[in-house]
Amino acid sequence: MLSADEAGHLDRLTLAASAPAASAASGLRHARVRGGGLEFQDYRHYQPGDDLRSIDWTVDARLRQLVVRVFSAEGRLQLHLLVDISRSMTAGVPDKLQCAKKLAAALCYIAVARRDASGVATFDDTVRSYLRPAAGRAQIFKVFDTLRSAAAGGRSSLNKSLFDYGATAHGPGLAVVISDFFEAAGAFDGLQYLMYRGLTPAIVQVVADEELDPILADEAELVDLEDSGGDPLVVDSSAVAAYREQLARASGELEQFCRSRGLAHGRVVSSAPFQSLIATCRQAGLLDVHT
Amino acid sequence: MHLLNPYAIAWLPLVALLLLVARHRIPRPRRAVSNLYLWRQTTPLDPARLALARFRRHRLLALQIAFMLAVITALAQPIVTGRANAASKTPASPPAAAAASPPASVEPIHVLLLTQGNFFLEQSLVSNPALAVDREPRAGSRYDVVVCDACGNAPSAAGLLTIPAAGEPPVPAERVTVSDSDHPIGAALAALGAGPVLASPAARSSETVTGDVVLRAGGMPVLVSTVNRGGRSVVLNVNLGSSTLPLSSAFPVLMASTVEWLAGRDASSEALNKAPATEVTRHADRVAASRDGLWRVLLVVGLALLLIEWRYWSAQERTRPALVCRAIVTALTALAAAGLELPVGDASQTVMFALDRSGSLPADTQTAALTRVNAMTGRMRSGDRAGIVAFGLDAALERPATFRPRVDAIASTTSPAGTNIEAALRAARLGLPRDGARRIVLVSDGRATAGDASREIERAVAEGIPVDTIAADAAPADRPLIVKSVGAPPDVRVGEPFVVSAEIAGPPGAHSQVTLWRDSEATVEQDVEVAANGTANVTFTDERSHAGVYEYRAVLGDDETGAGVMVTVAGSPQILHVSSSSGPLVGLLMSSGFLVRQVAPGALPSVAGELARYDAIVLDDVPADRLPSTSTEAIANYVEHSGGGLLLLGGPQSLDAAGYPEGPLARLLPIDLRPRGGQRSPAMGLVVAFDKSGSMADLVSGVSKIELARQAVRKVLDAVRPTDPIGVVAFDASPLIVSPLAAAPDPQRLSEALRAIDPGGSTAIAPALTQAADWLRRARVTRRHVLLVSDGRTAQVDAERLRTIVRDGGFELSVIAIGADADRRFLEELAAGTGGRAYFPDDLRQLPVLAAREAARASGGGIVEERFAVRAGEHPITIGLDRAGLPTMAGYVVSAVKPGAESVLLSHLDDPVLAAWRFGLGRVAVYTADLRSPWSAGLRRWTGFIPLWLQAAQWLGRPATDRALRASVVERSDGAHLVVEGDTTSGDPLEQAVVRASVRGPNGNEQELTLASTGRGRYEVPLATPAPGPYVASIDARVPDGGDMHQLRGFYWSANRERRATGADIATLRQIAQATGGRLLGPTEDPFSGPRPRAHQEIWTLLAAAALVLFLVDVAVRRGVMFRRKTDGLQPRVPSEAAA
Repeated sequence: MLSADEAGHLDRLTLAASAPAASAASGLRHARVRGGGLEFQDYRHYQPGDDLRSIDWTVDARLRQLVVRVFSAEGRLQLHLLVDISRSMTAGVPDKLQCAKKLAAALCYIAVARRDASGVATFDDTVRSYLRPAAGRAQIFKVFDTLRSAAAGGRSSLNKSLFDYGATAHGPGLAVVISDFFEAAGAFDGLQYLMYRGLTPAIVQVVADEELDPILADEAELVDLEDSGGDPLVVDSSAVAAYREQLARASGELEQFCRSRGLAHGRVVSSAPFQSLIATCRQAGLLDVHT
Repeated sequence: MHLLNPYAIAWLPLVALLLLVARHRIPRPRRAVSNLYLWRQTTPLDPARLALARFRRHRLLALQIAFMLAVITALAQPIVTGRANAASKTPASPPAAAAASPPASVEPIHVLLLTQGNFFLEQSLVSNPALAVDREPRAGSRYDVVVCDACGNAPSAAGLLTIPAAGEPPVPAERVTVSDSDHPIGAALAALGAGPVLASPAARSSETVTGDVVLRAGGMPVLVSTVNRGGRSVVLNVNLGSSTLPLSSAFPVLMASTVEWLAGRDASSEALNKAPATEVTRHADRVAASRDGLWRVLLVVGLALLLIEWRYWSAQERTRPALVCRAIVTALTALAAAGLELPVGDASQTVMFALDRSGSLPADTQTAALTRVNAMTGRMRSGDRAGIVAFGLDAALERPATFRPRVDAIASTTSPAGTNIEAALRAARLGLPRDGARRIVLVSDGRATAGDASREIERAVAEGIPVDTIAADAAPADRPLIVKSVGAPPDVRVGEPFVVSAEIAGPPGAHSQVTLWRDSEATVEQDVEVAANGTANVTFTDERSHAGVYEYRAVLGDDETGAGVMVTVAGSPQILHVSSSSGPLVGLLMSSGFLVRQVAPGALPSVAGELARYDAIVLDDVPADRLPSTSTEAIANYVEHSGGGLLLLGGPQSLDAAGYPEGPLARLLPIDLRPRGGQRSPAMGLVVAFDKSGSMADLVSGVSKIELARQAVRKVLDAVRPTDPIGVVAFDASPLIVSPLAAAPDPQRLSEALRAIDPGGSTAIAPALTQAADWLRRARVTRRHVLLVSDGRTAQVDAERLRTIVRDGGFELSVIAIGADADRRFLEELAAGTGGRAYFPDDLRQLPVLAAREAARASGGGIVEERFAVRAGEHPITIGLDRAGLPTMAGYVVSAVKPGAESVLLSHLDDPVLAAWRFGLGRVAVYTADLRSPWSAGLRRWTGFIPLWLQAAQWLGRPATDRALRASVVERSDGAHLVVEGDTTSGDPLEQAVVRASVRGPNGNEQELTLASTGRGRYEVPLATPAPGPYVASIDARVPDGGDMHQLRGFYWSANRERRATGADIATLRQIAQATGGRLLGPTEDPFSGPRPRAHQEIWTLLAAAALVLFLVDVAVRRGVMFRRKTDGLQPRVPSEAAA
């Protein structure tokens, strides 16, 4: 799935697993995930129930304030890759599915390289294949095999697929949804549900050139790729501008959704080169340079 | 290409669709996008665009289904029409055949029978399996045909058969003949060779017979068919109760063919009848013809479909299996529609034996023939079938085609009076099934005396039915003793001896007595013995002293029938002079060689036949009312149909407006005697005053007097010139104005006013005449006349007033007295005082004529009395006359030349004095200047007087024989033909002539015939010879350049033509066999042993089924159920067209 050259680009990258994914929140409840890392991250005021051992007595001595030290979690990140394999992903040159697979493979590689756990699921109108997140080098080959054997087909139903996935998986973890998000019903309910299940969704929208910038001759008859028997639509070139507006609006809504919830969001074009894919992921805040 | 049948309509939408699709290029690329929902928000929804897009998406499938539907429809069509053909032919076969092979599942003709219960009518309809008969109208049923037997008013239907109620008294039955054998009904009956059927018309036909007269009884139409926009209707004017028509075997056929024609189910059989045999090849059917056209259409459509698929099928979808499937489907359907047949072994054979049962074959020979047929059918192979048709003058199906055809004795009754090979072959052909090898075996002597076998032979050839023939012949000893022929020269002159010879045929050694009759008088009786060669001759010599046509007849023993011959004896022309006294013409004509016979008008023969011997008739100053009405009809007939001449010499007494213009001779006359207005006579005012008192209600011979008075007024109206004013006044005690004095009153209104008059009241004449005198005084006329119709019995005071009025009135009064008790003296006195006349008719029924004559006399315009110089017109009568010395005459009766007539002599006012024309076959001339009176004194003294009248007599008299015209009667197998050959004066063949003939038969029936040209100078017409005996044909040939020729020819139609045909005609039998591809079978051969064709079976059902199955496969392939293309999921390119 990845050439050595491509893998080389990934070596210095790591998944930007931001705070929510590995929360070191303390509380009365006995946390299932132990957040005791070694690396100091921050101070905060003492709250009743905090471990007395974490109180920084030197600060108390100087400032007469009870302050606890917060360490960053040192635990494994659970990476859930959700790849859309519906028929709509076959559009574009090279097609969007290929781009999505490559992206998933790259993320998986990065996660495994950082000894995080990674798993993959493919879906169209429901989950088609599912590989539990796991750590270890062997996992990378399982993920690649799963990706390789996934073929496009079926209609897409993002919400339903995400509901199905969320029912079996739970957080904390990073759920990277790679799809074109071309669906009238949208995917917001499904993403909300993943968040409710403790996963932190990250969105990578894959689009094709022709979708961004359709070229229409005089008049064209358009049919839905996933529903070829459905009613076609006859449009002419005058509709292109309106289409662009609609596409921008839909993308904007998706981006607005992510931004308001602090989720990573990126949009890649299927014809873009590999490095540009990775760069987009970094800009989206999905990847980070390992220090 | 039979595209324009009802089934072809199924093609029209398909063709339209194909055109639409072929024309409609699809300009829009079809693209699949992953985010159509976004696109949808850009463009509003357009239902029309959506529907078009949907259609386009499914168009190929729709095309395919339409194509298959059309193919199935087209394949179903031959079955339907094939059955309809079979059904329509069935009735034309004998009834037995109709019963034996009912048409399978054709929609029956719904017939509503409204009758008071006629057994034969009901049976003939109910027993026909092709009909569904109801006796009472059922609610909700639509009837194709309504049969209305003396019913009140029939419900409307497409076809209506009306049988009117029988009238009283019964009319004598007469023979029924087919008068229109081209009509489908007539053709069906003519093909049967209908035997002698008697029928009496139910009602005297209403004078307007509109429509096609198919059958006649005597002269009366009995079956009249009409076609109008509402449908077809037939009137069967037959008294079913008293005629033998319902008893005859032809009646069911008549009813069946009538009902079919009414229901319009005969179109295909009609087309078959009219199709020339050469055009029909292997299948003599429309079925095959329509298929031939059909399969071409199918091929074209299939190719078009493939082409369309190729053009609009996307590259991804054009899979080879689908294309192969489609090609095979197309090929299969085309083959199925083309009627592909596969050979399936030897055909079983069906043979119909047609057995001659005519009188020319003795019973022994007929039995031997049947025995031989039985022997032959005993050697049939299994699966073979045979049937037997017996025929004489007509044909009957003795045994339909069965596997066990053995018949020990023929049970069918056929008329032995003739040999009708056409009917035999037709019955046999119709008795054959429509499949398998078919063959007809004709067992006959080959001497057809009726029908035209060649027509049936053509049909048999067209249908591929070979006809084998077997010669059946009687042994010489079995032959009957008959008069074979009588010979005599056809034309002889008076006093020229000639030989009449009779040829006798019979078994050698037979004795008989031969009697030779001349007309109705036995001249020679002689014993003869038949010689060893089977013939004997009797001759005698005769000569005739009078011109005429004589019949000679030879009779054996006391047998009334026999053979005869007609001899025309030419001699001096004969003229019948009709007058009460001898006129100047008689001596003139007699001294010039004419034989003149004088008769008084009352003694004139009343039968046209008795007049026929005269060349011309002269009516010398005979008023029309002196001639008996039967005689005038006979004269009209004699002129029109027998070609006689008529010379009418008239004067003021005989030529008046009320006489000849009214009778049957009116249309014969070349002049019009009706009064006309103009400057030639002074204007006259006429007032008719008639009595309407109570006594006018009395009846005279069943007619009331007032009615006679009404008729008189109407007659008077006709008799006066239209420019003369006329007034009508009726009177009782006071005058009643019927019509005021005015020129040309409206006859309609006058009639109504007359009808409104009721007799009643007392009589007072004076007031009415005062009114009349008043009118006349004020009218701008130079002559005033009053016509009084009254009995003259009036009160004394009134009579005195009347005298005064008449004396001072200044008008002329004519009186016609009615009633025996009229006051004769008083009325005569009244009339004489004014210069008028008084009439006292013995028979009051003459009143209208008297009144009209008096009016005409009073108007006075009919006569010109002044001296004038005669002028001569260009006419054959005036050839060679001295035109310079034409005489002066003193008067004539005014008349007008009718269109087409010519004036031979003219007056100074261009009125005809002697006018002539041709009428029918004859010629008529009228002289209007009273040859005996002083008017013609100048003419009588003229040197040209004798030549003028001799030439007139010669022109009028029909020449007995025109040497340039040769007429003969030729006996053919389908009856007698009248053949006329003619030369022009220059010796060239007579061409473009109108040749007409009037033939009088032995029972007095006249036939009017027009001969058709059949070669250069040769004209022919078939002659109906219903009865044996003498026939006289009067032939008239008219050449375009104006000349004409005449010929009188007698011929004898001998009885028993059938029995005179002895000995087998091997040549004819061989010819029939060769023409149809059959054999003349020898004594040991039989029709079952010959080579047989291979049987063929049509496999369109299999082909169509295979096509249907493959079509499903084709759809499956297209839908991806079968032969699915392998795809790897990562397709290199988005398909530009969605899969079907």
